[in-house]
Amino acid sequence: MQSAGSSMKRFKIAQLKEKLRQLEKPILEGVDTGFPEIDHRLTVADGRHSSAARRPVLSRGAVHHVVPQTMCDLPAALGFAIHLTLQIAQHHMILWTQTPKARHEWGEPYLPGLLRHGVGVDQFLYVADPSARDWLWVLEEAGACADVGCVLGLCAQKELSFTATRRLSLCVQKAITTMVLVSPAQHQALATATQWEVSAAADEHWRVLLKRRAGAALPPPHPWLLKPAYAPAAYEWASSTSHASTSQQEVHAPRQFIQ
Amino acid sequence: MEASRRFVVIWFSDWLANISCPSEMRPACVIEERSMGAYLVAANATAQKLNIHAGQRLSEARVLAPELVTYPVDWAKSTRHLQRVARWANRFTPWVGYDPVADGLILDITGCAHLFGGERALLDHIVTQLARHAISARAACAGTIGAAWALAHHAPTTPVILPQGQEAEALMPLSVKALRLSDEQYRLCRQFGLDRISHIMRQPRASLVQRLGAGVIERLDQAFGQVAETVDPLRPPTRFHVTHVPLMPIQSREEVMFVLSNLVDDLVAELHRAGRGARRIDVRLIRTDRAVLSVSLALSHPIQLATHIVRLLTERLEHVQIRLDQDLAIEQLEMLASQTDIMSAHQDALFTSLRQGQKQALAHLCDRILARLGQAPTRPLLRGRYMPEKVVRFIPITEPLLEPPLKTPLKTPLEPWSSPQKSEGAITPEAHIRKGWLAARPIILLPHAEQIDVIAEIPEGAPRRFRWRRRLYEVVMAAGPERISPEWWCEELPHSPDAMGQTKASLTRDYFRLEDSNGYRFWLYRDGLFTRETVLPRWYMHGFFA
Repeated sequence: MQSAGSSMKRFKIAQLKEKLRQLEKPILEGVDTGFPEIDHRLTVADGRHSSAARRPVLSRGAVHHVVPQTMCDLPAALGFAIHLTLQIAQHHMILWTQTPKARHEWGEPYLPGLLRHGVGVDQFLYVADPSARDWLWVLEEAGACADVGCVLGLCAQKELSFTATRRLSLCVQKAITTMVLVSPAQHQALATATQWEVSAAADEHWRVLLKRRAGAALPPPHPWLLKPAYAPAAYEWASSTSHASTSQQEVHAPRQFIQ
Repeated sequence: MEASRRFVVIWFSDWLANISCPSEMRPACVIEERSMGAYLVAANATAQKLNIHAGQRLSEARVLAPELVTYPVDWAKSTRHLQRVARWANRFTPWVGYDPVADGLILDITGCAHLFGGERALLDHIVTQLARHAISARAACAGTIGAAWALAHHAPTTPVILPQGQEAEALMPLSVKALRLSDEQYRLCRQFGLDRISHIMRQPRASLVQRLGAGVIERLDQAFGQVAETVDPLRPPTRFHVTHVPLMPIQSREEVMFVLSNLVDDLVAELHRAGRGARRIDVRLIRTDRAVLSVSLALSHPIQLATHIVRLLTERLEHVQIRLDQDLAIEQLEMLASQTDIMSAHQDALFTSLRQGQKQALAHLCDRILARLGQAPTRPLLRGRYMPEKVVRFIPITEPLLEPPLKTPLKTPLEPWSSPQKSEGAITPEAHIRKGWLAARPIILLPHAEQIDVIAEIPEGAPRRFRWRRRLYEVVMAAGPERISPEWWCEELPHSPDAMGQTKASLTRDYFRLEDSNGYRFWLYRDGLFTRETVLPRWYMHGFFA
């Protein structure tokens, strides 16, 4: 009788534990990009208007790929990727890793600039200079780590392959983590959940085109022109019309060169 | 027990010459460039015959031997070689230490000599083996370190073995230098006419202390065994040490891993009993040719988890070349936890928080990255510096892993990325963030600023167009300049002027934020104020905005 009672108790505890786990479980399905233009249009494309049944744009447990249109667009693509990373990671850890080639060509992440984009000081981890092979290894290991909110991988050359991305996808799928890769367009198609093509546009804008979205309808190919919503700078650009009060401005005040 | 200890002191009499110019038959010397010119730090045997010795100026030595060959001194190489020899000496006794006074080793061979056929055979073996590697060595064995040292350095012939209790007769005729005196102490002794140890022995102790200081007396007592002295061992003895000697030497990697995983289990069991976790694990594989392969694992937090350690070891050994075949096999495997910490017990409660487990996951990830890449993941530390490239430093994640959370950065002065010239006066970085604006800083910064060709309308203005990496960019919008002054308070002194007659170290930089016709956004600076600091300021590309 006693054993039956204790097993009952154990069952109840297990049930409660399960309930707690459900409560504590982070949103597994995914998040939106945080840009209303994109989220809205994709919702429309999905053909569902009620917000309850919406499918989030960036699913968790998947690899997302951001491609700069040309090599020079890489900083813009990186900026967009950081935006996505933050949407996914929220307050959790962001692990940034890049190949030595990328470091040589474009440099290292610079925290004072990233702060403006909303990256927290204590949520940033950086794995410097693994070789191209170790870079994939770091991505895979970090993708399997439950405590990394989002992994950001940057490479400057054709280091990615279908097999590699497939491996990474399976790995993050298993651990329900998310990964954002920034790399130039590769030779072959990659096994990623989404692919975004980003180029820089005038006046601090990004031109973003969604090229691929696994298992869902693509909206008509029409790029979004997005203005990143980061903290405004201490001094801003000169706009092409406001050159009235230049005489009063200090030496470091905005200048303008377009007539 | 104290009376029966036995020490061997090995002195490499021509150490630097031996390792810098091993097979040089001509007169050769090792020189070091000092502010007063080149000085000799060692001379080889041929040169010593010509009365050339360490401490001479090179010019003096050249007078004595015009054909003198010189080698630059390499202290790092010297240290490296000494470490290797010390590791080699570990085969005679586990207790090997460096001689703090001279190039040499001190071995505590108490209870070890019989394994090598007695002390005489042991010393002969040591000296001949070193001679085979072109290292001239003098060795002596005695009951105290002091006596062994004195004999190794000053006995007329070596190797010498001094039986217990005969220190007095053996040391009496030697120079006082044999007592390991400092230059100052030696000078004092000479002043008082005390040339030999026997002279000192004859003096009353009280007056000796007054005249020469307590140091000399201490050295004397150490040599005669009145005061105990021990060796600082190279490999500190550890409590957590497991060894395995296989019946047959191991020839395959898989077997090595298998034995190692068994050893890990033993080690973890020992750690568990002691309630400690390993912070550093050293593995030594000893091959049949006595080559030792050492692998060390540093762990970010104390660990008792066997599976985790085995996983790290596997990753670590993957990158290590071990040559194994019929003749070269592993005959002994050792594993020791050279650093341990108290393991804080985890309670598996009903409400085991997910977070605890997650933190563990991150720590394990860091360990694995450290084991494979040889460097831990880094986290950024903001520092109160002005120069943009010095504002952030990436520091590896070490012991207090993310806990306590990094609070310091925002507390440190952050003027560099606030705008110092802003008219609102001194604004704290917290206020910057609260107000929602920060100084514009790029998201990526080039490892080294790259020089670019710039066309500007006026010398002090922003660029109109510029060429970077062989491509021309038309500037459409510009913001700036933001002036960043050199850090005179923490800067190295300016270097010698370069070809352009400019000093390289410290120039004021004027940073500009530019956007070109395609929308690419750059951060570049003009190095030096026009006409005030430099005639021809150069421009550099430094970073990129998103």
